[in-house]
Amino acid sequence: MSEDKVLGNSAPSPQRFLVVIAVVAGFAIAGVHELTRPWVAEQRATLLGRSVLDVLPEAVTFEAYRLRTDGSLERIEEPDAAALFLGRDADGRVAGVAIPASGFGYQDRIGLVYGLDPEQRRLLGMRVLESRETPGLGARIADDAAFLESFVSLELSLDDAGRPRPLRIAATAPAGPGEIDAITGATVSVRAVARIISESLSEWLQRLQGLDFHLEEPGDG
Amino acid sequence: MAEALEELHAETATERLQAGLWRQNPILVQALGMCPTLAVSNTAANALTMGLATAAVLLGSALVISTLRETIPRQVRLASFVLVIATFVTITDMLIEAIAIEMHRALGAFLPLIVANCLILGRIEALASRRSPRLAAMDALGMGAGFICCLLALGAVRELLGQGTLFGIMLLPERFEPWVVMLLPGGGFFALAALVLAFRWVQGHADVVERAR
Amino acid sequence: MTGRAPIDIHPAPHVHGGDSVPRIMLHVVIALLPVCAFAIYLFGLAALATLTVATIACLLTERVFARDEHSTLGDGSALVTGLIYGLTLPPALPLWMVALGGVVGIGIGKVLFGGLGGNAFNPALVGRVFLQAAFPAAMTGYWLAPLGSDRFVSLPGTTTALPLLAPEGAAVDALTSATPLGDWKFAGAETPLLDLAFGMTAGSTGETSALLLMLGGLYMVAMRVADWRIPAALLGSVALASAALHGLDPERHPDVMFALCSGGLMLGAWFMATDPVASPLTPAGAWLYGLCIGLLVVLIRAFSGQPEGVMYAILLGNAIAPHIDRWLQPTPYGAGSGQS
Repeated sequence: MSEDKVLGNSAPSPQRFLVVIAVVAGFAIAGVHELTRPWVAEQRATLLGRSVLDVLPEAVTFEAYRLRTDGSLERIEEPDAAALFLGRDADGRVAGVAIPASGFGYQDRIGLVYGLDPEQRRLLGMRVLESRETPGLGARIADDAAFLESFVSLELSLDDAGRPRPLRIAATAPAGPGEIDAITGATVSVRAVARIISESLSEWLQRLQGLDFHLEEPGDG
Repeated sequence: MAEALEELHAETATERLQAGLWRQNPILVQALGMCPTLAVSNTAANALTMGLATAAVLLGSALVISTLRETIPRQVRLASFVLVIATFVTITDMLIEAIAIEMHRALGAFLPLIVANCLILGRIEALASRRSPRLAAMDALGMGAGFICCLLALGAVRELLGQGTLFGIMLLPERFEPWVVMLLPGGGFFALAALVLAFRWVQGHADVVERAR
Repeated sequence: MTGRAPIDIHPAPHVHGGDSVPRIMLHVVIALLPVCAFAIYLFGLAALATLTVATIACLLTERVFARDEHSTLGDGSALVTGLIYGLTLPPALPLWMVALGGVVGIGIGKVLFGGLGGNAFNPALVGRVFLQAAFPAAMTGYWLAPLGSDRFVSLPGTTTALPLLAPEGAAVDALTSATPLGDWKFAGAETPLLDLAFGMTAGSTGETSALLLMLGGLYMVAMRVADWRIPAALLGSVALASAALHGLDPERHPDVMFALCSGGLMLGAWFMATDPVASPLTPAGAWLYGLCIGLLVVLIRAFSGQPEGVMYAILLGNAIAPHIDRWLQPTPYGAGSGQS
């Protein structure tokens, strides 16, 4: 049992020991953080990029923007929570804006991103980024093919002042402008998605109309 | 105390390795680390990642603390243990985010919470802080492997019944009606209870055979 | 708790009340017969198949797991559980799900707790809650329109789905009727009260006819096999709470009669909350227990994402029943606070 010396036989002072071990731990964590930072950034960008390109079917590249207080757009390099994403097609033409939005669903926050064509006043697509809705019921908002398809090229319904009306949930097959598909058993979650997008649209649609997206030449992004 | 005595008897490295896998299995016998066991065993991939991460933290911390066991002052031993464990947890967390960000999202808060997994602190306090690095490593490997096996078994059963897939590959007929409950927390309890039941049943039969000899 | 609560033993002489488990169960079955008959009239072969499979599944599970001298197969309790369980299910539910829930209800809800008398929760509801968690889409969508024209000719396509498989998409599309509570919650539509009272609506196999259920319940009360205080407290608190909510906001909350006659309330209040094993023993306890369940029903119906909450309310009531018994345990004569 000679190898099994019990704890603390030749111990230094507790304070000194804790300081040393904390410093070593700090350096180890900082080192790994530095080492993994480029990978993490790359992974985060791919994850975001994939959903942005998913909701802007014609886009091949995108740039992140922030709305300045004076209403004009400012290009940003590190997208934050309030960023918009401008998609461009292969010829560098604007292919729509991807807007992240979130709100409460049945269980918890639903985070999503939707594609908007502000000039043609139509939605281009929708993807759920995070949700904790019930698997098999509400969670189908993330993968129900007919539901997701109903956001593609969806003409918006506007009131007389040009403001977007809230999205409606179709009773049968979606027919009119601003109508999305229903999912049996996911009524609450579908309503939440419709509400989140409607609220975000009323904030963004009119602000984005007529904005000059060619402020900064494409090609550098 | 009885358990501590029993551990003193299981001294050889092989015995330590076997203890974690079966006789003192962290999930089936000691019921340690229940929180991640129930929470993130909803798919096989989640369960495997969680198991590997926990085992890696356990192995790393056990080695470091066992090596330093004569240096760590008694008065601050728990603080030192937690500091070492937390360091390994943070590093593991960052590595997983760098390698598989979607898995990192799926596991959420349960990765940082490995630091509070009583399996790790328990093994360190009970064994690694009193034994040579070789024994501590064998113990950590055994406990880690036992943890991984149980989590993987739970994850496989829950994923197969909950969505008909295993590691994302569809195994059951396409029209299989998924048992949604298996993906929810309740399903974790059902699957764990069934696993413990099966374990006790096998163990009971083994004991009968042994006594008959 | 081991399931056997400490009971005060009163000194002799005792008079046997003539009660026995088979007698109680016989009266419950008699009370349920009109409800079952109406369910078959309303939903046809689908209801018959659901009730038959539910009952057989419960009886077989009881037979397999409780084989020894403690077997309670002959006392009719599994038969009653099976019938009530079948009545709570959507009529077009695939039969393999019906069977699975019956096995879970008796196996996990009753036998694992030590059989009749030991179960903390109503076994029929344990089976149903398992199905609700496992197959939420089926349990909240496989309704049949009442009095369908070919209900005595053919079974719905969903009923005959192969074990473990989902029904054909076309079979699911054929089921469209929402229940009165679903109509109210999701479409703001009200069902005529007469249809609700007589049960001419879509809904679980045996929950639709409020009048027949009440009749059966009153029969059980008259035969003294059910404690009248429980349904009285339960329905009373639902009525009061619904009236209050309806008064505050008639647009969002339905009126009292709708609240009383819709969903599984009548079935739950008369036949499930009164389960003598899982409900409190004292009269005061029965009042409190019924009150808690009633308030929970209204709370879940009004403020949750689900249209109906009777099942969860009764299970939660079952969970607090032993605690109610402990709080309201009567003090034996002479064992008071010591003032004498």
